[in-house]
Amino acid sequence: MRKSYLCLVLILVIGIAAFIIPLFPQSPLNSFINWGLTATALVILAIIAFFFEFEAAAISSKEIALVAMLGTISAVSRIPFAVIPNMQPCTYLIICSGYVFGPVAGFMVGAVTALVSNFFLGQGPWTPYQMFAWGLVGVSAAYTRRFKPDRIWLIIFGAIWGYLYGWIMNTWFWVSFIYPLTLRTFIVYQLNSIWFDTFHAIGNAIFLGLFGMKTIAILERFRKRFSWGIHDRADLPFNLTN
Amino acid sequence: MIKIENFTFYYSDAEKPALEDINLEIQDGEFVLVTGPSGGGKSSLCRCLNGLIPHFYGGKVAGKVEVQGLNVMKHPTKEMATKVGMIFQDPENQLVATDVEREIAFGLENLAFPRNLIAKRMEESLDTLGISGLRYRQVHELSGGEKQKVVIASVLALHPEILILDEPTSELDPKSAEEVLSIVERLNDELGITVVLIEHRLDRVLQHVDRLIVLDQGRVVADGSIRDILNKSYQEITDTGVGMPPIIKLAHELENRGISVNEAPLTVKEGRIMLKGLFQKTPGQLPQCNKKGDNKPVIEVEKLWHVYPGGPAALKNVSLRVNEGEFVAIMGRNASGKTTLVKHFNNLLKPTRGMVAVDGIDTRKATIAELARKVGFVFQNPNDHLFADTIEEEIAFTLKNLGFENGEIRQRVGEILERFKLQEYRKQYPRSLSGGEKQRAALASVLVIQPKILILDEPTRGIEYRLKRELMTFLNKYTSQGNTVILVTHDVETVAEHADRVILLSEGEIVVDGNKRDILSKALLFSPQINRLVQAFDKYGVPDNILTVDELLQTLK
Amino acid sequence: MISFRYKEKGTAIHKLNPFCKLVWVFSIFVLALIFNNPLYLLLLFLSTLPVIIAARVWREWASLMKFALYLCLVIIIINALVSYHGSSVLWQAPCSVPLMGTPVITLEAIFFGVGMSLRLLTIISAFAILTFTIHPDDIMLAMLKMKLPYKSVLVTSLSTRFIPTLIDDVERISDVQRSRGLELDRGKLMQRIKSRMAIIVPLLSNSLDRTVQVAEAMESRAFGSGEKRTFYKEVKLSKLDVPALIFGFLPLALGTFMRWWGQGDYRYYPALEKISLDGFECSMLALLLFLLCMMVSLAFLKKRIELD
Repeated sequence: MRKSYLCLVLILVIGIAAFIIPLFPQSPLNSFINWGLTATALVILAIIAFFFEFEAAAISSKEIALVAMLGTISAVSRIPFAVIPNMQPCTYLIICSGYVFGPVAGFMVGAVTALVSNFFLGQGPWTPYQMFAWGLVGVSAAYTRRFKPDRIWLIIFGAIWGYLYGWIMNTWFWVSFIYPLTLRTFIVYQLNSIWFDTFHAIGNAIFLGLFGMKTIAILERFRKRFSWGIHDRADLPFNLTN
Repeated sequence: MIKIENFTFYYSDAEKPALEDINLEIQDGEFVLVTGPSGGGKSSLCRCLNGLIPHFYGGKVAGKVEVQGLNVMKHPTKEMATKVGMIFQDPENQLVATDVEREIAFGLENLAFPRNLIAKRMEESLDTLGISGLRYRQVHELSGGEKQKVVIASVLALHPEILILDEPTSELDPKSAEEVLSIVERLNDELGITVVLIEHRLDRVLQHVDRLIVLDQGRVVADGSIRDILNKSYQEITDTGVGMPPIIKLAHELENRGISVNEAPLTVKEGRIMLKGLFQKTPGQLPQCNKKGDNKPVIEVEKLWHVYPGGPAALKNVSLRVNEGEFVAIMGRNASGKTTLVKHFNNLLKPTRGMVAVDGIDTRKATIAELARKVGFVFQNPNDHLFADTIEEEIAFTLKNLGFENGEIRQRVGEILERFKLQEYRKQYPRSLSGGEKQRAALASVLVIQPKILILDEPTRGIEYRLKRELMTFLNKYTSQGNTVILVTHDVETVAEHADRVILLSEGEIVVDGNKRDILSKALLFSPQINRLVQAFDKYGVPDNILTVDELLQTLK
Repeated sequence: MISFRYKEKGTAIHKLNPFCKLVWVFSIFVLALIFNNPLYLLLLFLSTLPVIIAARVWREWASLMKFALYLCLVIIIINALVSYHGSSVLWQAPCSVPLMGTPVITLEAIFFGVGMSLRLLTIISAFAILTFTIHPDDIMLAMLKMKLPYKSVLVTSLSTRFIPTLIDDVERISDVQRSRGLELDRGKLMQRIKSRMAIIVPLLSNSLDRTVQVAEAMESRAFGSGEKRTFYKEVKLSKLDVPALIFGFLPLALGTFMRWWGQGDYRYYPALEKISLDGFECSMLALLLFLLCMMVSLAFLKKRIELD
């Protein structure tokens, strides 16, 4: 069995258990169900599942170098923007990468961006969530390709991710430090970071609006150049396919 | 043994072949130099020897390449790795690990070597390269030369029988380049490794190699043992745009004048032997120097200190004055403060202490943008300049930054495109141009402001002879129009031929500053080849401040 | 300008096997999440301090704590606002607010916030040890040892390898563009973002060109030769690392047992519970703290032995 499926099964088991156990308040297990731990375990399993997916995909040195470099670019591109508060190009670069190079590469670029930039900014319990959130940005961007989005849709997509990213990041704090865990407290907790998320959304919208198409064009041009195929040519006596 | 038969190769979307009907045989233990203009097929040739062509690049192939008995078309690069070691131009892009040990282990790990064998091979290759001191270092702390040595060690650890080096020194300073080349020579000499070296500069390597192959437009133009071919095919080789070292040029000129030279001299010593008979007959006359010292000063530096945060002083009490119309070369070892100094001229750096005035403006009171109208700064790599969608926009960008009117922008862009012969590309994507065109575009994007002062940081590093000559001719013309050119460079021959004045920096201090003739002659390291040649003949009355072939020929008349 | 948060300081903690530290951090992380009792959380937090001091990273740690205190404030305020389960009402809003009903601030909710802040401080403090004392390369070796797939680890390590290179690129390109009169910090937000694209676009294109060469270099050194590959470096466990590793796991085991036993739980609502520990509980807690502190002692012991 592919190891990524193993992770998926584990995610399912833990997830279902997490929902069922509270239904039996008398069970001794109940005192052990810990939302902070469960959420982290699920997120880490999801990341590992993607790692195994990446391992299993037909990956050559080209893809590895590409994903590493895109992750590095998006981590490093934060530097010139450090002086502008709340404006970070990471999300937009991950969206463009996922859009052009597909879901698995998109996830990896997002995850690597988070993991590597935290070597410089500080690791914490937020690292897996960041990896997961940015990874999903890349994955989802890859799927928007099917709808051939124009500039406006890219902007909307980026803006939505500004908020979604915040949600994912807040989730761990919410489950670990807030009582009680109800929809109401969830919304209040999200409202707390609403300014921050709004800035993130605006930033994504600006970046994608101004440079989204150009960046995608650069990456597309590179993808075409990078996926050189070996062609047969009738007029040349030797070709590789035979 | 390498055997190439009727080999033709097209890149996937190319109309013209990158290599056409190549037939070559390279014996074990040979040291082969492959040269030619850029785009001539040098890189393609070396990439087909370890299967990067066609397995990595795709494309269309015909003919046969056999390396050590393996058909490269059927064996992908990773299978060739233990036969053929490949070293590329920029060490930065070949290092894949964060520290030196891991870097060297990388290839062996890929081949699933057991740990004890990796340890043995690592020890061996570190020692062969003489870099065991670097063993525990982080890769990003190393200098360019050290990085390239680590790359060589990591390739050597796989025990290749053939070593292919694609312009391995073009990103390095002369001293590191020299070290790297002598290592390569030793590997060939002592270990018997076949070496295929690709270089567009011949002057550094000629004495090491056995055989020269010249490629142009994908075809072999000349091929033969080094001494034969330099004499016989001089014209064919220079026609492709490859620059000959001054000594070879001299020998050729002498032959043109009817003075027979038996064999092309490869070293300064051989050159002296060649000239021995000549100078006894001809007394020399001094070449003239042109002076521009009395013009109006445009850059004044007074007691300038610069200290980078957390570092030692990069400039120590530097004072100098550069005048209008001067062509100044700033030279010195790596990290001697050359770039730090010139970055003060357009305010990229501000003085820690002391003062810099540019055209009468104290730089401490100006912004970079204000100075940008007066000072143009061209950096080494044109790729760092280019980002717009078309050449036109790229050039207009500079003018827009400086707040020019639309009408004037259009006019100036038109003019500069014409001057740099870029009209036909005006709507093209700058990064898709060839190397030479890119460099012209980057230069145009700076010169469109018509700066009084033009600074170039290592513009000749890694570029081929033809482009270099083109650039230098332009710069000479630019200074003759009353503008000032400041060139940061390691390239002694270029300075000898084109500059007026030389400033030599060491450890952040000016060691000497004066006319190039005084500084470059009779020096040990900073003398051009021709000067080192004539130094032996001053007892015959030959002026010892001759710097170029043309000057030497004048004295012979 | 920008560097790893990790700095080689050569202390006993820095020299300790990365696995021991990872396990220890993991234990603290889990323990902090399963205990509710503010006393337990406080003691857990205190048990991270000797490590911070021994590793001589308290300055870095302090700056991280500043950020953490801000988060604590958020936790306290939000808990105070959203929880109506407390009985000691300190303040009641005069009118109802959408989403919140009629906000009530209770002593219990504030105290819950304080307890949770201790939890957060403990976790951040533990992760500080990971960030400041384990070299990123060692983290990757540990990832490999834990059987994480090699290609993902390689991508991460390639990326850390290229960060300094790309940082140099950014500095150089911004010098180039500023020399062409580009002013990065002039104008409104849009203008400032737009002007930075003259840096991002060349960075992107240059790095993509690098990608080709990196891939070529990897191919040329037999990357992808076979299914198997070996690893020259690995996280080696020395004799003293094994007990240190065990002392990383033991607290986790003991803590889980204690929690299962019903220890370390605390009821904030509806009214604050009195914290009372019987003799057994006290001794268990003391044992837990002892086990947690053993790692530091072993680290010192190891360094001492290596020096001799």
